[in-house]
Amino acid sequence: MALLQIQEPGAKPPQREQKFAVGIDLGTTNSLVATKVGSVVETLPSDDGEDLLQSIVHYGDDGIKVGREARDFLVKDNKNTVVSVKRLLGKSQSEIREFGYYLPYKFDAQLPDGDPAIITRHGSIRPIQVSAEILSVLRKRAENFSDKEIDGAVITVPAYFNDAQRQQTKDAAELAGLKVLRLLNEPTAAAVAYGLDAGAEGNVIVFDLGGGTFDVSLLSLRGGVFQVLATGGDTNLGGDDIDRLLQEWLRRKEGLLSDIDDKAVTTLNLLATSLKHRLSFEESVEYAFDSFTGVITRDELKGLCKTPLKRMTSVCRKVLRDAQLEISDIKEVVMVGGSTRMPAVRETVADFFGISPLVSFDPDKVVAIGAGIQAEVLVGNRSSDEGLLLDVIPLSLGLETMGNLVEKIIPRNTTIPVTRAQEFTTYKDGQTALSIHVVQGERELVSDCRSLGRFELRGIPPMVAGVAKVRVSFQVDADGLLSVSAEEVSTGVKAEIAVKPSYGLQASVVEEMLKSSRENAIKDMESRSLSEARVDAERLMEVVKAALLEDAGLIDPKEKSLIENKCELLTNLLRVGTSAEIKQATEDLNLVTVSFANLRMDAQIAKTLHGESIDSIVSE
Amino acid sequence: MTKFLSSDQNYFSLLEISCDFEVDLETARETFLSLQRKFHPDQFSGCDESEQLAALHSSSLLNDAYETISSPLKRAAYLLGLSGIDVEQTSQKDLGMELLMEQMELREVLGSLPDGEQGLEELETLQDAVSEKVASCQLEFGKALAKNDLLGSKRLYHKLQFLIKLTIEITEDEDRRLGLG
Repeated sequence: MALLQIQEPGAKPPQREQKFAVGIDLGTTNSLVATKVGSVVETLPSDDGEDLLQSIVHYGDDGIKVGREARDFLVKDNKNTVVSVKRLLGKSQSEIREFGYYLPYKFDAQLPDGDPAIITRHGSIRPIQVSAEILSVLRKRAENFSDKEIDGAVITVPAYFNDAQRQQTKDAAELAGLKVLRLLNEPTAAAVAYGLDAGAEGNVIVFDLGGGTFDVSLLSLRGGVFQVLATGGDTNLGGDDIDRLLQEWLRRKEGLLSDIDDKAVTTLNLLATSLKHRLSFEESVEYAFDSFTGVITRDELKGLCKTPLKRMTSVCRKVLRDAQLEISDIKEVVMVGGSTRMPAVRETVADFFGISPLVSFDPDKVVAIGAGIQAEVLVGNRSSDEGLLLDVIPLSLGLETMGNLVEKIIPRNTTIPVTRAQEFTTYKDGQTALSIHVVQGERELVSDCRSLGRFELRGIPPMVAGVAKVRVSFQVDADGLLSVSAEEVSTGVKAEIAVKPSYGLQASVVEEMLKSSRENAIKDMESRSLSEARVDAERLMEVVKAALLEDAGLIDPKEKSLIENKCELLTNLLRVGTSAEIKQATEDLNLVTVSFANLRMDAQIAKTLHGESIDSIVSE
Repeated sequence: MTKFLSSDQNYFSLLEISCDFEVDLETARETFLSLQRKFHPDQFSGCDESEQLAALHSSSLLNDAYETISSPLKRAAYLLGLSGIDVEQTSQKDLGMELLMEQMELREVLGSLPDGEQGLEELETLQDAVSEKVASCQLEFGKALAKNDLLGSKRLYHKLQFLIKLTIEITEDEDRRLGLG
């Protein structure tokens, strides 16, 4: 039994136990998990030795597969194989339709527009469930590695992610059984990886071009504090776009404009991806598709990417302008994301900033490593003096006012956490409720911004029109997530707030999913332990019955009937018993056969001493 | 138990600088960073909810204080507020005819520039002229406030407000011309 520890006054407190924290980069194309190994934070490999887990989930007849195994189904079973799910997080069905490129999935039309779900053979699956499958694999990888449960995780998100996308990332992590310490912007994580190790000071651009998202962040690193001065980017620009441009080029070149089935599209996509990868190492590459063969050069690829490359430098220029800095103020450029391996991208960045970008970390791993380092700080294993991150809100928060106009209450690039209050009044005598519509975006018209939610304020004390003053506080926490509270100023009455998120799921739906996932986890555990108990019981009974057939003469009939009795009991339990009942009965049977087993052992030894050959004993 | 920040505290004393329009931004930033290191919610991630909430409030307060102090316009409004003047409560006649005329003229210049990249050079000339006006307006505001000329400094505040709004519009205009949207 554990005793209470009583300490001598003034004695040093015992060394705090190291907690187990991980950093997770939940990427569009690949995902990784990193934790402290020895004295450094490293990404963890799978059993196959691969650190990168492909963000692909397959819903198959024989269960769910994630990563490379799921990739095998991309061509064979594309409707049940979800790729780049990160692009779907926090989006509505109509927004997904506007992506402008082909997705093989069918979406569940029964659900509201703001709640898209892919129809698979496992039923309708929401994007957060797909993300949760990926996170679960990484969680298990880390827990197998350390044999401990994870105490907390830092999950990275693109700096440009809006409130709905951040909230869904957090929901997915909870669904996967992870305690989220912090959502961290990906570029900030990369700077943590470089900055903490090198102790750099000055302004740094983090240029992050992943599979599906592009982010540029301008950070100032000073006195151990990382401050994001400005961010910019495009949630629909990445390596996938380059693949698509390359695929379109191939189709144009080979005259495959129409009449092409889903499988051919997927095969072409895979070909385009592999050509792009090889062109990072070779000047020109030969290809073959069906009966077509050809050659593409690195320069031809750069030519194809003209539009996305121009878009990238425009975003860099805008970020500099937002921070009121010049190109000459930038000390370093950090490259993140697999797509920054492309020579065309590196050249463009070097030309624009006039300095060669930092590429000493693996651009695929640097974000996860930074997240792992920050997780160590947040979980308390590492002194917080070593790093403090001050992030900014990536998109302005505003309210709908008269005439479909937006009034900004928290402009983008405001340092978070932040609280802003706004006063509202009633326009009718005795009015007791107010409706507030919160939007996110930079445009002036409500219809051009993204609706985040509608807040109903109820319980305002009835007063003459214009007298009640309702003070509504909008609070954005360090994760970039919004919460709203309200109070009537003159009476101090708190107004009730009912939130109706416009995108994503109602909190109750998420809660329901969490509950059922917990129940399923318990069920899964019980069914596994039940089948193990059955196997153990059957194995024991087989041995006991064989022994009785052979050596029943060694024991008296009373003992024999006791053993048979226990066997029968166990046989009956096998079909109807719980795992605990079966285990107990197995144990009972084991106990009543102990002396029988000893007697048999003695008899066996006696037999051996009577001149049986070693061979015949061994063969028994 | 950490003693958190109170929202009643004057932003200038919070950031350990003297309560003037002319400020030592370097010191303000140093204080801001060292206080954030102490109060940011990340430092309380293992603590109970009430402490996390208190940290959120302290950290938000610091962000607000630093933002107010480092922006000349917000700093000016805050200083006027400390003297009991609410800059939100203003009528047209407080502004004065001269200021209104100047606003209209500058706006007309911006509106009459040639479209597209052709107007870029003239836009830059306008930008430079406005920047100079911003600098001299700030100087005048500081002087007026030091003399405790509250009405004069309020009018200069509104002038500054207009000039800074114009600066933002010029930048947006430039963005559009450069295709930065």
